[in-house]
Amino acid sequence: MNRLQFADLVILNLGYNDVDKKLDRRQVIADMDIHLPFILTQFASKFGEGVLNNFTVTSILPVSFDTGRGRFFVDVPKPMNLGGFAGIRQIGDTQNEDQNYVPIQSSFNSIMSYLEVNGLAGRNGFFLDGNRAYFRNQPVDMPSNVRVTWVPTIMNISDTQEITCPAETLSMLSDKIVEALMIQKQTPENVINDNKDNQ
Amino acid sequence: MIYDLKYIVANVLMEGNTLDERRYAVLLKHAINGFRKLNLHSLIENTVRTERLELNPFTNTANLPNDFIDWFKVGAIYRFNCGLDEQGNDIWRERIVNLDYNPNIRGVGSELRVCECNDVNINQAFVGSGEAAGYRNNDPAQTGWYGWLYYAPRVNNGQYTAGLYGVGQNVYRGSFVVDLPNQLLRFSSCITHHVKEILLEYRATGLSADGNAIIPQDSIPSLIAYVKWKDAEDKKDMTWARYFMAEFNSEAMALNMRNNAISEHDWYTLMRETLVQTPKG
Repeated sequence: MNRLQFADLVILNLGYNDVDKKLDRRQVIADMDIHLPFILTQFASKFGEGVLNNFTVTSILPVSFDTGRGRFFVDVPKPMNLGGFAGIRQIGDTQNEDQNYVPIQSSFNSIMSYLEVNGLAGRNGFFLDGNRAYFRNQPVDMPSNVRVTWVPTIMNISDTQEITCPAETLSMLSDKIVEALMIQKQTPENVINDNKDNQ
Repeated sequence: MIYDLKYIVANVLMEGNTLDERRYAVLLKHAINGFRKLNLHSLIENTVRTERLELNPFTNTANLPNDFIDWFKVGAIYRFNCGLDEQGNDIWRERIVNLDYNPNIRGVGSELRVCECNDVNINQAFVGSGEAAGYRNNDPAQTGWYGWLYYAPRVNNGQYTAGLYGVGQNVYRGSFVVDLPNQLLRFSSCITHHVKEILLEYRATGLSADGNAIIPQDSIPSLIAYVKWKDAEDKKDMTWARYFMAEFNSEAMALNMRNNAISEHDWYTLMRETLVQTPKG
């Protein structure tokens, strides 16, 4: 199911069959981005983070150098901003899925510097600063591109792209959005601009 | 397959069905602490290292390695010339002289004056009538350094030679103390007269600079249990924490028993050393 089909489904579930009063698909899509992260996170904590790997996009992105901070970085696409930066699933070498970089919290940098774990046992790492992933313990020859696997937002996928979240989550999402939009449907339309609430 | 701490972390991540590596650094820290725990209990015995240290002639000190825990042997490396090779180049050999631990040495930092040792006087007092009694059979005919070697009782060329009364078991005036707070080995005053390098055999943390360590295969179950124990504690899951703590204790005990088990070779050696076959009368 893609986002247009899902939006139409919700609109029909709400009983909007009158073309004149049809709910805008864009509102459903925006609501999907609000409710889906919460539902996905609940599922992930219950069934494991594998559910996040159902709905990912992999991009090959260029590596740049930040002269101010003296570090290589990659600007990652805007992922679903899940807690603990879980929206970025993997960053690794382009043609070697065995070689992923270790994600660390940016606030760990200073703490780790006092521990042996600072060297990451010889592995390469990255930390996120907003939508920018900086590399740490970078390879001796920093590759020009890296592979980034991330959980997209509904807003950032195309109309035809499948939403590959587990079916249970889509069911819950549909219920949630219908519930949220029902208030709007039940509230009579007030087209008079008189600073009074809709009654 | 290399068995190291990354192997332990990968095991725990895999068994926990963890599909990304966001807890890698935390679990690696647990693995390091578990490795340290087993190492300090002598359940991992592969962390004895030997390293050459440069001796600072102005302070009579050498910097301890970062992974130093405790020392086994401290020796002075003395280079001596063994003549010329066929191309006419000098042949240099090295001799290592173990030094005494002397807790009475107190460092005074850079103000320490390096004395000019007068080994010859002491050597003369000891050797007495001639050089032959003072040296080993294969000692090179050099002068200067060996004067302070032989102050312990020894047998030289089949002849018992008493050491100087009141002198320690090893090298007089060549002694050291470990100054752990300053990460230094401090030496008594005369050593720099002869020695440029120190050979330190020590018990190391076993961790490389990047926080990794090669581990013996039989320690893997203990380490996995340790990391799972601490991981469960992190997640405030005290039921699993107690479960894995018990598993760690059990695995560590098993590791200890395996380490102490007598092998077939040990049995043979024991029997050969203790049993005597006699003809029946």
